[in-house]
Amino acid sequence: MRTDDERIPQALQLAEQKGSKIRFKTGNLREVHPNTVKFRLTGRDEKVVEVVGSSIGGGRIVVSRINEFQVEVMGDYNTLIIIQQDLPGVVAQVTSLLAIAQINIAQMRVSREKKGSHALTIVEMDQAIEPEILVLMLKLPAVYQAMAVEPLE
Amino acid sequence: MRAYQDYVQLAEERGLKIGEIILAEQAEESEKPESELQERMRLNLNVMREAVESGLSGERKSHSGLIGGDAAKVQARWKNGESLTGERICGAIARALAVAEVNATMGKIVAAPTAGSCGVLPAVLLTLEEALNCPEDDLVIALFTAAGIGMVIADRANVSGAEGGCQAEIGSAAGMAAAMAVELSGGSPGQTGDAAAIALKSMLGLVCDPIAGLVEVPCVKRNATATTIALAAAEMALAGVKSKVPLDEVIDAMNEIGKQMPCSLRETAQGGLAVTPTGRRIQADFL
Repeated sequence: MRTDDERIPQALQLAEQKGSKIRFKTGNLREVHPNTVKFRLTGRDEKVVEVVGSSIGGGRIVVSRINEFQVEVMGDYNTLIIIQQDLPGVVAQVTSLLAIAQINIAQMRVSREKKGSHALTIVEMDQAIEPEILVLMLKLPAVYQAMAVEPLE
Repeated sequence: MRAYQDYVQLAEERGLKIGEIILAEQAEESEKPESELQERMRLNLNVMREAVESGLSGERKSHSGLIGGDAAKVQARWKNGESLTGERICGAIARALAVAEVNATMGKIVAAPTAGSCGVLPAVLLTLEEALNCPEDDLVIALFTAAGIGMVIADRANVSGAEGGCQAEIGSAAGMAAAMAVELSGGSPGQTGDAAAIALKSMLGLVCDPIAGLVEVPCVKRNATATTIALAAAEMALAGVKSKVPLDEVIDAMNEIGKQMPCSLRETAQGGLAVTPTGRRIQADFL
C-alpha cells in the first residue's frame, strides 16, 4: 500500500484476509529514534528477517538495520542491496558493473558480520539499474544476493 | 547542508520565485521533467482541497470521540458574518481545523510537513486563493516554496515531534505557510525568509504532549492557532518588517532547543498536557 492509500485504516484486517498474521509488542530498542519499529518477518519457509526502521516525520522513513547489518536507507534513491562474501575486490567488481551501465552512485555503505564472512553492500544510485546488469552482478562468484529497490514515491 | 539564504540569493539573481528555484532543483536532482513534479504537487493540492471540504462537513468523529465538529462550528460564524477576527482569519481557522480533524479521523491528508501539522498549509493556501483569486498554477509553485523551507528544516534540524517537539512540526508548518503566503501576495524572496523566520520564532520551545498519545488534543487546535501565526508573520514581512535573526539561524536554534527537550515532552505522552488530571482521565477512558 502507498502512504496515501485510503484502505490504511483497515490495513490490519486486509493483512489478515491475505493470510498474514500480525502481532504487536512494545519494548525497548535502546538508542534509536523514538518512533522506531522492529519488524520480525517470518516467511512461509520459517526463514526470519529482522528489519529496524523509524518514521522521522514528513512521511519519511529510515531503515537502520537489516538482520545484523547496520544500514541507513531512506528510500530517496534507487537502492541496490547486495549480500556478498567479504573478500578483496568484490566492491570493485560491483562498482565497475555500475560504471559500465553509466550509473552514478550517490551513497554507498559496506558492512560485514566479521572478516571474511557475509557482507552487506547498500548502494544508493541516481539512476535505475537495468535487469540485465543485475543478472551480471548475480554471476559474480562472491555475490550471493542482489536486489534493486525503487525509490519511495 | 542546505541554507535558505542560498535559495533567496538565487531567486533574486535570476528574478524568479523561490518555488521556481526549488522546482528546477528538484527536477535536476530527481532527473524528472518539471512538468511531472508540478503535476504531482497538483495532486497534493487536490487532496488538500478534498480534506478541507470533508472536514468542514462536520460529520467526522475520531475513535476516541474527542475530535470532530469544531471546524463546522467555526465555519458557521464565518459564514454568518459574525466573525470577531474577520472573514479571512476566521475562514483560515475553520479550514485548518477541518484538515486536522480529517487526520484525527483517519482520513486522507497531505503531511505538510507531518500528519499532525497537516492543517496549516491548506488553510493558508485556500484562504489566499479565495481572497486574492490566485490562479492554480501559482498555488502549485507556492507549495514548492513551502516544500523548500521544509527541506531546509529537515536538513538542518528535523520535522518530527518525537525528535524536536511540536515546534518541529507545527512550527515548521507555520514557517512554510508564512513564506508561501508572502510569495502568493507578491512579496520578494527575501520577505519569504523573513516571514518564515518570524513564524518559526513564535513557536520555538513548543513541546509535543499529546493526550493519550493521540494526534488529537492539543494537536488539532494548534493547527488553527499556527495558521494565524503564519498569517501574522506574512503580514509583517510584506510590510517590510525584517527578522533580526535570519531563517537559517532560527532553524538551527530550533534544532538546539529540540535536543535540550526531555523525552517526556517529545511525543511520549509522559509530560505536559498528557499528564494533567484531565489528560490522565481521558487516557484511562480510552485505553
